[in-house]
Amino acid sequence: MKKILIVDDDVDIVDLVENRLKKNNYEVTFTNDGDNGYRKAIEQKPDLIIMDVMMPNMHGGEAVKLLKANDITKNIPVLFFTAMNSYLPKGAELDQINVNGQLYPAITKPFEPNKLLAAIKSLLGE
Amino acid sequence: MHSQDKKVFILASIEEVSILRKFAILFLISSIIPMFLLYYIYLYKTRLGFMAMIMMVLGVFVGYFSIRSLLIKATDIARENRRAIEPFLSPQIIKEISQGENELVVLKHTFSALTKQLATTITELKNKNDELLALDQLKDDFVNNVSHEFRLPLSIIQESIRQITEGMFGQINEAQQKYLNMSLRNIDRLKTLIDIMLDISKIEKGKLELFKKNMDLRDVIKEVVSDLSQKIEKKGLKLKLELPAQPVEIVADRDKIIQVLINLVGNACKFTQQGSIEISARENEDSIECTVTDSGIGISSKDLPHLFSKFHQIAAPQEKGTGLGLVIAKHIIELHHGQIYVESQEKIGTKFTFTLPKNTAAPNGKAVDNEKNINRG
Repeated sequence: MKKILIVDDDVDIVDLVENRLKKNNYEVTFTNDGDNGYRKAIEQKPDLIIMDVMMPNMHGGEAVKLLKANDITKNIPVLFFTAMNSYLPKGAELDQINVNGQLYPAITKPFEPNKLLAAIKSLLGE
Repeated sequence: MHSQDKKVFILASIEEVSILRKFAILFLISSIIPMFLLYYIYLYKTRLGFMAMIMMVLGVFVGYFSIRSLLIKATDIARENRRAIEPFLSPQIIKEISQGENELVVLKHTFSALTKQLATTITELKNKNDELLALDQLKDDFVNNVSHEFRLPLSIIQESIRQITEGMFGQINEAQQKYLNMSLRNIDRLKTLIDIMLDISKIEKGKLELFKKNMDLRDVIKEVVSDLSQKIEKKGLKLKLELPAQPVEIVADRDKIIQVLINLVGNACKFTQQGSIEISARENEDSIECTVTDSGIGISSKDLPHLFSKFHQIAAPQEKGTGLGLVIAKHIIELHHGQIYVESQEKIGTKFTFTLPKNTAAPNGKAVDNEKNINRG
């Protein structure tokens, strides 16, 4: 069973995404800010990280910077999950987000569960 | 006031004429004496010299009268101007003008007052305009923010209800299912409303952007049909598709064309109680044509001209809408350099047709057509 870490400060969203993912046979853990997200990622070595952008303490971009600099976590795929549409290149074939000058896959909030699941599947190579 | 004006004018003119007379006499003496000297010394022997002398003398007199008539004209203009702008002038300036020594001075004061007044008015208007632009921007930002802020909680409600109806937390009974489905339908409606609000705000600012790609119109139609087929079947309507065997290639914004088709087919479904809905696509010589025809209640000739206008909604028996769907559809098609039109007969049916230009210069992948839409409203 693939393990997914959700890092998002919106507890309602986390709750709903957790339900959805569990129903689709994923093991889910979560945390509510970038700092804890970074620590949990090292601790748990998930197969995928779903990362919000705007969070207290440490925002998603910062957390990913740390994750990519760390040998343990640098190969874990990251899927950004954001309400900030302005980050996304409009009309782009794939939803992507530009973080620290690098493009990462992204899903916009409000989310469509099917779109989220499809993105997860493709990132996990399923 | 008026007679006083006249008096000032006459007095000034008399004064003016006397100054001019003095000036003219001085001018005559100072120009005629050297001329005669010149004549007696060099030119008296020739006929041409005599003629030149006469011309010069005539010139001096013509000069005098020209100056005089110009001055009279100028004073007339000054008077007219002053009368016209007096209501806009401050008492101080009027006083200044009235105290002018002669009409030329009055003219000068009048023009300078007029220029000052004009400059003030332009500045005031510019400030007002800036204020209005700022307010308009505020309104747009507000609409944008509110719409985005609405979406997130709405999607949380939607997903929660979906998870319940999918039985994630245990079986639910038929009545629960029915009312939760009703909630979901209305959430969809609310989402559509938010999208429409955003679209209209973008259209009004000319900021509706197109992301054009190559596509087969038949695929787009099939996608829309599969989305709406349930709704159409539920109403007991027949759905006919008339699509060519070969691809109908267009370069367009897929999502936007889907939006137009959903609107047209949705309307057809909404206003048709029995019969059929027919969707066709075909390639003409220089355009692609798509039609949506229904056998519904039709549109009265009274409503027909206003169909693509903002907030115009025709009376429908049970259905409600925003009256903005067709406005958006028209803008989308026109942004694609196409046309949309409608033919309808009451109680017989309605036929919407839109055309798109043929795929001439195909952009590769995700070309963006940033053209601003000038056509407002």
